[in-house]
Amino acid sequence: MTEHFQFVFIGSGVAAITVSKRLLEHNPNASILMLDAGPKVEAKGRRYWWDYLIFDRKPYDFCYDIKGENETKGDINWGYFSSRVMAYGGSTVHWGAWSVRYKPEDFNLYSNTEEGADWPINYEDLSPPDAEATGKTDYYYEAEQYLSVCGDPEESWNREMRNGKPYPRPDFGWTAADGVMIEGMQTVGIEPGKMPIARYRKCMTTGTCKYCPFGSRFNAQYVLDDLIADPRYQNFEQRCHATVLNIVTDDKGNAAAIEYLDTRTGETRTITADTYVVAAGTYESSKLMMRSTGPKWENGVGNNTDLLGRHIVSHSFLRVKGTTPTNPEHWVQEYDFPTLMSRSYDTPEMQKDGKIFMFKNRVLPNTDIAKLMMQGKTRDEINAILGGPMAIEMQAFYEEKGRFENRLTLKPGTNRFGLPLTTIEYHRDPRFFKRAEDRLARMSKVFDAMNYKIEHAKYDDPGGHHATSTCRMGETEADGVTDRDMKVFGTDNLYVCSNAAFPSCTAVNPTLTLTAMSMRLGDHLIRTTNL
Amino acid sequence: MTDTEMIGGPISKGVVLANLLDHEDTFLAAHQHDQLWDIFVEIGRAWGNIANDSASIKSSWREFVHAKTSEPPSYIGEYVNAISVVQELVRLYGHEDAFHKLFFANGIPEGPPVTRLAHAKVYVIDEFIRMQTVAGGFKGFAQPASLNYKGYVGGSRYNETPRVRAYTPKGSGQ
Repeated sequence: MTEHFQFVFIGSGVAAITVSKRLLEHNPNASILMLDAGPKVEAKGRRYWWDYLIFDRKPYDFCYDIKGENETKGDINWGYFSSRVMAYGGSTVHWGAWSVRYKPEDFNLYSNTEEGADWPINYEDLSPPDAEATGKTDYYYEAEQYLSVCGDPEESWNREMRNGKPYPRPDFGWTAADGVMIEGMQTVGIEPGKMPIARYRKCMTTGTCKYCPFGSRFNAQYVLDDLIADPRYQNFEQRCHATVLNIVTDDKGNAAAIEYLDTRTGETRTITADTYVVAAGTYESSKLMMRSTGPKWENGVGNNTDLLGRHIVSHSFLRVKGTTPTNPEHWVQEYDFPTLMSRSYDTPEMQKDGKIFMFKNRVLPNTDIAKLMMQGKTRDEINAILGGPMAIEMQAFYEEKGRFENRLTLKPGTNRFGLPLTTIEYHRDPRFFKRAEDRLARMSKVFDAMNYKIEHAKYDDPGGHHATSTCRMGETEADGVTDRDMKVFGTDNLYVCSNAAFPSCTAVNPTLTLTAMSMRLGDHLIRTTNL
Repeated sequence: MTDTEMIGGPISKGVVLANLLDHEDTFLAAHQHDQLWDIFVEIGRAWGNIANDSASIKSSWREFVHAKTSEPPSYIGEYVNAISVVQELVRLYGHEDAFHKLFFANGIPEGPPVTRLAHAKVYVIDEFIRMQTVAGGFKGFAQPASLNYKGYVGGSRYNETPRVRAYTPKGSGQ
C-alpha cells in the first residue's frame, strides 16, 4: 500500500520539526509525515535522572554510534562517538544548547580567504537590518525566541550584529570561578562574553543539562510532542523505527517516492509526497542520497557533479590547561555549561588562518566530593583536596575549511537502526598545524596573565558534533548539491534541511543557524507549494 | 581499602553474584524504609556535612528510594540486603564502630561486588552518598562552599537567592 502526504520529512530533529511547525502554523490541515530511524527516548524520567546522577548514564546512550562501527581513512581519527543521537528529536536530545549566531563574514569565506566556500546567501538574509521597516523576517531573532536563548546583547560583537535587538532571556552571569580567566583575558586584550544558551522552560540549575528532569534546556522532542498532541494538526504524523532506504526518482530526476523499512516489523513501505525534505543530519542526509540512484542520477541523487559527501568539515578542539597550587576559595564550575566565552578571535582578521571560538571548560575546576567520600576519605582529607591544586582549561573550536578530498562515503553494512555505516576520509590541511599552534599560543597568553602553570596546549582531531557541508549549498550545480533554498539542484521537490547544506562550519555551533535556516525553508515552502 | 581485612561476619561475607540482587517483594515496608533512613543519616553524621541528621533532605531521599524501587531494575533486593549487613555489623562492632568501619575501613577488595558487604557498599552506601551530596551535602565541607553542584535543585521559588557564587569584578565595591 502506498500512502500519500503533502510533505515527508526524513529525520525528526530540530530541522524537520521547525519546518513542520512553520507549515502547520500556516495551514493546520497540512498533511505531513515525519520519519525517524531511531526510537523515542524518555525525556524527563525521574529514575533516569537519578541514574544519570549516580552512574553518568543517560537513557539515550544506546542511540549513539558504537565505537569501531564506522571508519576513518586519511591522517586523523575522526570522532564518531557521542557526536549525534539517532532518536526522536535528533541531537538536541543531548546538545549543550549553545546558541551562537554565525557572523557576516562567515557567509563569504571563499571571497575573503580563497579557501572553503561562500554561502549563496548572506547574513542579512537571516537577519535583515531593515526587517521592521520592510516587513522582512529576522530569522535569527525568531530562532532565538523559539529556543529561548539567554545572552548579553551588549557584547561588542552583538552590538555589531543584532540590529539593536535584545536576547529573549537574560544571560547567565559569570560564576566566581570564571573570575581569574576573565581577568586573564582582559589583560591580553580578549573581551570576555557570556555563553548564549537555549533555555526552553524554567531552569532550576541542577547542573544536569545533558539530562534535564524539568525540560528546561531546549530539546526538539518537546516541540514534536506538542505538535503530535495538538488537536488542530490532524494530518501530522510521526513514525519511529522507520529507516528510509531509498528516494525513488522519476525520469526528470524529481523525487517520486521514498521507501522505508519498519525495523520493528521488517515490512518495507512506500510513501509518495508532493515535497520531500531530507533532514537527517550531515551523515545520513548525504548517505541516503548516495544510495538513491535513478534514471537521471547514476551516482546518487544530487551527485552528478561529484560533490555529494565531499567537503566534510567540523571543528577541531583546541585546549590549554593550567594549574595553580592552591584553591583557597574552593572554586568549582557550578553550572554544567560554560558561562564564559569570547569571540575576540572570531573576526574577519582571523578568518584567513582560521577563527577560533573560545570558552572555558564546563567541567573545570571541579572536585567530585561524593567520589572522595565513597573512597573513604575523611572530612579533613576532603577539605584539604578542595583547597589544594586547581586546574582550569580554556577550549576553542577551530574553524577548518572544507576541502574536496575530504569526503564521507558509504561503508558496507548497517547499524542496529538499519542505517548504513560511514567512512570518512579526512586529510588535514598542511597549514593546519602552524595555524593551530598560533591559536594555542594566543590562548596560552591568558594563562601566563593568570600566572598559572600550563599543563598542556594541544589540539584534538575533528569529530562529528558539528560536521557540515556534505550537501553544501552553492550558486550552481557546479559548486553545490543544493541551491540557496536548500533544494537539490536538478530536482523540483527535494530539499536538504541540515547542517549538511552549510557550505562552511565557521568557528561556532551550528544549531541556531540551522534553526533559522529551517524557518526560512518553511517560508519558502509556504510560498512555493500553495499550502 | 584492601590493606584492611574485610569486615563483617557470615552474612557480610556471603558470596553472591555481582549483579543486582533479586527479591520477591515489590515494595519496601515502612520499617524497612526507617532502617534505610537510619543508614542514610549515618552518612551525614560520619562526614559532618549536613545538619539536623539530614532532615532537610528527607523528601529528596524518599523520592530517590521510590524511584529506585518502583521502576525497573528494582533495588528492593539490594536494600533488604544492606539492612541485613548493617544489622550484622552493628551486632559485631557496636553502632558507632560499625558505621566507621563500613565507611572508612571496610576491607572490601577492589573489583566487582561479589559479597553481601560489597553489595551493600556499592549499591546502597555509595549511591546514598552521591544522592546526599547532590541534595545539599556538597555545601557542608570546606568554607566558603559553592552554592550549586551537579544535580542540585536550587528551586525556582527562590529566585532571589543567588544560584551560584557570582563573579564580582575587582574594584566594583561589591
